[in-house]
Amino acid sequence: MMSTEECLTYLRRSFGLKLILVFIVLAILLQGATSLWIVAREDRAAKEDIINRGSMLTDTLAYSARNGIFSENNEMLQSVAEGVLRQGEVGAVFIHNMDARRLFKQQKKAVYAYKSLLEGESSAAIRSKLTTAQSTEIVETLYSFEFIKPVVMKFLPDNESAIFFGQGGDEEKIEKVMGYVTIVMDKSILKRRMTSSIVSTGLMALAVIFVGVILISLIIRRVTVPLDKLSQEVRKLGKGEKINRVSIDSQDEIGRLAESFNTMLEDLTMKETQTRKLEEHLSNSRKMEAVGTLARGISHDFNNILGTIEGSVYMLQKKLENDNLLQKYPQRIHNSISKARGLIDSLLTFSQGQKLQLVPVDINTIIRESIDVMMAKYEDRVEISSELSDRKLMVIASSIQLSQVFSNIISNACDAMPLGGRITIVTGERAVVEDAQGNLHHNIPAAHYAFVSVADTGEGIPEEIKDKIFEPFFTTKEVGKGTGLGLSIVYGIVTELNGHIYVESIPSKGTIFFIYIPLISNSDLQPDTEETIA
Amino acid sequence: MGIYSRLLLRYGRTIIIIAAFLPIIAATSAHAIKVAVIKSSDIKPYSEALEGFRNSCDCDVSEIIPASQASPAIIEGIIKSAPDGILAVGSEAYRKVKSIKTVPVFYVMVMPSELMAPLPHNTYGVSMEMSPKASLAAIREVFPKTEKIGLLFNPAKSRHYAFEISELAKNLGIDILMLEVSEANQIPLLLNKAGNRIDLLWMTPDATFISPDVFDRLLSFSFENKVPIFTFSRKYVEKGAVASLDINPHEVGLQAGEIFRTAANKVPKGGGKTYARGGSLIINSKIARKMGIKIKNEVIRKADDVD
Repeated sequence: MMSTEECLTYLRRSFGLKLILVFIVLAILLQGATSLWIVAREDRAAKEDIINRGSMLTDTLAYSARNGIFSENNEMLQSVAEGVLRQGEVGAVFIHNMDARRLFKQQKKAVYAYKSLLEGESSAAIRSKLTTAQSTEIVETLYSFEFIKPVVMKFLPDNESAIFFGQGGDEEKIEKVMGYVTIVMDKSILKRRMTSSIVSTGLMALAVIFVGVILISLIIRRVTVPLDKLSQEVRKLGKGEKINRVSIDSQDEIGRLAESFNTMLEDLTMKETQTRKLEEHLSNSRKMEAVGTLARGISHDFNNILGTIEGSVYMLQKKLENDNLLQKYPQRIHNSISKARGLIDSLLTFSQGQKLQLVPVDINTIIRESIDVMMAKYEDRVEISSELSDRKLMVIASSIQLSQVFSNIISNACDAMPLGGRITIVTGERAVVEDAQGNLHHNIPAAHYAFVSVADTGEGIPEEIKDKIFEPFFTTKEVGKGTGLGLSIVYGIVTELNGHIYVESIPSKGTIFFIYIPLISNSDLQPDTEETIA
Repeated sequence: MGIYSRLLLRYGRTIIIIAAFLPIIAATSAHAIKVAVIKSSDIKPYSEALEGFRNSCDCDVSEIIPASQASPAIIEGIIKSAPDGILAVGSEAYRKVKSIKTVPVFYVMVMPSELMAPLPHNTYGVSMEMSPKASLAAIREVFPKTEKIGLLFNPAKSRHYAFEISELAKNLGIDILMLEVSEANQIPLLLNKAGNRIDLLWMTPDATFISPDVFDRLLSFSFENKVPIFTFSRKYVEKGAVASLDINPHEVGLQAGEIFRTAANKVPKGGGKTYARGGSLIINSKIARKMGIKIKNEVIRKADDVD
């Protein structure tokens, strides 16, 4: 059993319950007023009905009882009274003579014995009012209606024209009261009708309230359940939990609200994803910048140290004769130094410590050259095809850097296909624009770009490491098989050229690298496609 | 010859003739009897009565004034015109003139109840009641086996009449059971008492018990007990009474005119009431048959049968 406090709390928290309570109160008030009005009207109508019936019965009895009263014949009076007593509401019949002496009484079984007012204190007063055939006295008591009517006889006027010759109409006849008839109509029937009316209107009111509550509950449910769903998802959103689309199939306001919520959800999700990617991109950029700074910092010192070692090794080599068996050791040292210098160069390249001259360069030309070089190296197991654009793709870059980019990517692709495969290189022009929602594809700023895609049919990149492939020293190869700097260098070069690179991969299917480098001229550019957010 | 002579010669014969008749004319003018008439209404019985009066009164009916217009001023005017008599036709007319003392007042077609008090010496008339003798004679004729008659009357209005009937009936060997009715509601009790003690029920003209409902009660008694009703008006015979002796308005008027003529020629010696003479016997043979009453054929032939 809920306490009052709990009930009130529940009420405060439930719009549906408030609505139901309001409906119940209104319905009770309305039904109550209607029922009262109906009962009052029924009561009035029933009373009028009883009065009309009573008056009619009394008229009939007064007429029928004339001879019985005149003769003071009990049998005659009984026969006319019985006819009246058969009527359901009639409780008793009294017949009195003109002096209010009772000639006849008969009543049905009742809780109490009926009494006639003509036998009471008000008899004279009542009789004084009842002097013509049209007069009737109706008195309402607690339990009954009493109808009293005089029984009149019409006598001829005391003149010869009427008595001897039958002249003159009814209006000349003289009425004389011979007696009185009284009919008592029991009110219990009236009360039964009223009770029945009250019960039926009450039941009807309850039925209306019951049906109304059910209907309102259904309607409210239709409103509150979707609102609950929406509020749950909003709470999840606030807590940063995973939120789902709210499925509400309706075209009304609730449906439109849900649709708006879902749209907002999608927008937030997309923006969150974009933000996350931006943050990752920024994080990577910072990471790479940090690595680059470190690399720049140590490469010079390292170069110097290597220079010292290389010089000493040179001197040592010179001192040793060519056929000396110790000659191989300085050679090994020299080889190692070369590798070390190469590693430092890569680092410096990555860190952008080396400033190269940037000139207009046609990407297609660079790619062709890179393909030629790679073909020579991998033609035994990798097929390289290209779909290069007809027009030149002029960018401001260093040909050496661009060569390195494509060489590293192609090389990486070939390494991803140890059992052979196919590499497809596509170039073109791309105009990146904002979509209708103001979004950019992969956050690439709106501009005209030279577009390059390099697709392989290799092992693919697992999703969990896709974001790390551009990190320095990240490699999936065995130790000693790769430095982990190749893609980092690619990333660094492309970024330096104000370009953008991203990858899409399906494990066991292949990988595609997408590179966007700003084109030099914009006015004559006819883009092949416009990148829009899907 | 002078002018006067010429006029005398020319018109003298005419003058002489006229002069010879002057006494006769004067005498004739001196003996014209004028009667002013006040009439209750224009119903046929009144007109018949007046006609009868005219035929026998040997008088001039100078004017006929409706009783409704006979205001005291009009009555005064009539009196001032010094008629030889005032005739009241009907009870309402009689009430207008019954207090006149200076002019002879005659009445016809007036209810017996209006004539209860002793009449002034200048008042004469004919009652609407048939004489007890004539009524009893009619009863004997129609109901020869009647021995006991229940006489329904109002003692306040018809005591003398009832007494007279009773006395006369005794002489004829008929018992009269006096059924005094002051209020209509006494009738059932009286009838119960009468029961099978009477052979005939005689209904006198009285408004006390002349009511459709009361008459129905009388009829019920009559049929149940096979006691025929003898009454005073055709109206009731048509409704179920067996016989009545009706007054004849014209005859009553004649009778009144004769009285007037007599009174006009003699010094009036006091007011008097005269029973109506003549009368018409009315019977309902169908009712009689139903009640098992045999009426002689000659009586039926003589009477007016409503069947």
